[in-house]
Amino acid sequence: MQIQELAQPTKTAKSGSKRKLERARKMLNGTGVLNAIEEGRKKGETPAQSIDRLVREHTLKPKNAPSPDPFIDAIIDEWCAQTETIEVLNKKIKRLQNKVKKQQARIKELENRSAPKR
Amino acid sequence: MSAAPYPIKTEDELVFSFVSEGPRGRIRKIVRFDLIGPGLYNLGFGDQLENSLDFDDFANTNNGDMKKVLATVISTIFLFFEKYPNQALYVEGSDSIRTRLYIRIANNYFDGFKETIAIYGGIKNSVPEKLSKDKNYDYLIIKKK
Repeated sequence: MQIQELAQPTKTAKSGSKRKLERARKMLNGTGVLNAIEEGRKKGETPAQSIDRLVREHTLKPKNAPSPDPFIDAIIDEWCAQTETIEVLNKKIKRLQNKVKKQQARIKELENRSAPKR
Repeated sequence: MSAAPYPIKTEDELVFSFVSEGPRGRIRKIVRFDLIGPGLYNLGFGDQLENSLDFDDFANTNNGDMKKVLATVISTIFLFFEKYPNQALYVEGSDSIRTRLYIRIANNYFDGFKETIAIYGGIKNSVPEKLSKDKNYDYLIIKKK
């Protein structure tokens, strides 16, 4: 079987890791997470313990939570459904390709058998 | 996540790669854990950027293997916690739809790992809370119990 070449990696996109770090820092600003870790470190806590403590000490007010968005939910549902459809179709294609291969082999075998012997 | 993960290559302690295979070909993906602040790492992944260990997290590969890709990324989370059991992970999608997808996965998949993994959900500028199925969040924090 021939080994397929890797598709060319993206050339133009901005560094995802850099952008994600910027976003994460902005998002966490004011959440107390980074401060809790820093404070915890002084007390000898691990970062995981500091986050546990922070969560225990604060409860999120329900009014701050965004309400579920049915539009985005619908998009995700459709996205998942499409992916599943593609996966099912790929499996079907593979099954049919195998079937074709078997049939071709069978035809070849029959042709060889019926070919006049010299 | 019912799909089996792809074989993972360790590029360095905090960077992993794997190859997605599907109708659009073989596409190398990068999973990175980058330090946000002491003890907190960002989980990022996407299509590899040319000749680097960086990624494009906006790429829509549509390679028909989303479950397998996500199962592989989840595997790297366990690899991360093997090495850094006391650190925490920050997870946010590159857009709100991806974030919602990750929250859904966290709710469904990690349910089976309640004993070992704790997940918190947070909204912008607010203290995180224990993940609740009927709430939406802007980001997740994952840690080992």
